[in-house]
Amino acid sequence: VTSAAPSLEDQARQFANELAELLEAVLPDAPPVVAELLADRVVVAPADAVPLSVQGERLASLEVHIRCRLDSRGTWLAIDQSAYKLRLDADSTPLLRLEYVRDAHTAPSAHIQVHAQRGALSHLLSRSGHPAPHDMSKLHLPVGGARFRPCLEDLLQLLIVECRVDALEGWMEAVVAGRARWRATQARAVTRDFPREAADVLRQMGYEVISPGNEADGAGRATDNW
Amino acid sequence: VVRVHEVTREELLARRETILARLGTSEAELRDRSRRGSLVGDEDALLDELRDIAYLLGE
Repeated sequence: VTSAAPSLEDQARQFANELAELLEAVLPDAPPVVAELLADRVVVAPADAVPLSVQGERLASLEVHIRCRLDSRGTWLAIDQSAYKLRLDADSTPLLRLEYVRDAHTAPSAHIQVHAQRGALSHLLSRSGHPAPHDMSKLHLPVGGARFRPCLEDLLQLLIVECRVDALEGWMEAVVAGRARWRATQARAVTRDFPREAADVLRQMGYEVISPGNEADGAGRATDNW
Repeated sequence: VVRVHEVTREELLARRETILARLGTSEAELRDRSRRGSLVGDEDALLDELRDIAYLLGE
């Protein structure tokens, strides 16, 4: 770790604080957030599933697991894997999963799995020889890869606006602020993936941009993965 | 509210053992049944805890 970067523990604490502040500002009865560290790895998760209620009645829960480690330079904490699961309390099978696995091999690195059934889809998968044609959750619906994937704030907004779960007053401000932070971070990463394109846009906007002459050719950038 | 703490390898191994003893199965069998969509009760949630443990252990 360079002297400029906060320690792993400090970064883990800051990350856990941001998650706790988001959940506490958006959902009633949000549990505390725990960050556990071993060597260069950190798991950040609420101590229990986050309860979801509708008009005061507890019906479902949201499970959040975020697994991070220091980046390749050993400096900054980066998300390796995340798993957000929506689950009805009366049913052990998740309803919906939004997952990210940075080094996924076959499935899209960022994907949604819907635990549902539809006859027409089963028919298609059955005809195409899919090994589990009746199980829609076996499809990993790609959602933008490492850089453009949705954030937890997007999922919380879906739960509140479309699923109509109970939320705290002022939840929207917390979601908008968190999402802005997320997208700014992602924009920096995308700029590193596409320096030439970023420089072109900045020049069109009137900025003076000087090339260092050693721009990356984009090989191996995170946006190459689905 | 946030709690941050360093865990030890031994602590994680003991936690894993407790979870598996409670479920009466192995992690491999649990993962296999997860692939087949046949987990019941809180097995799926506990499998996520096992994944957290495996991740911290660098497995």
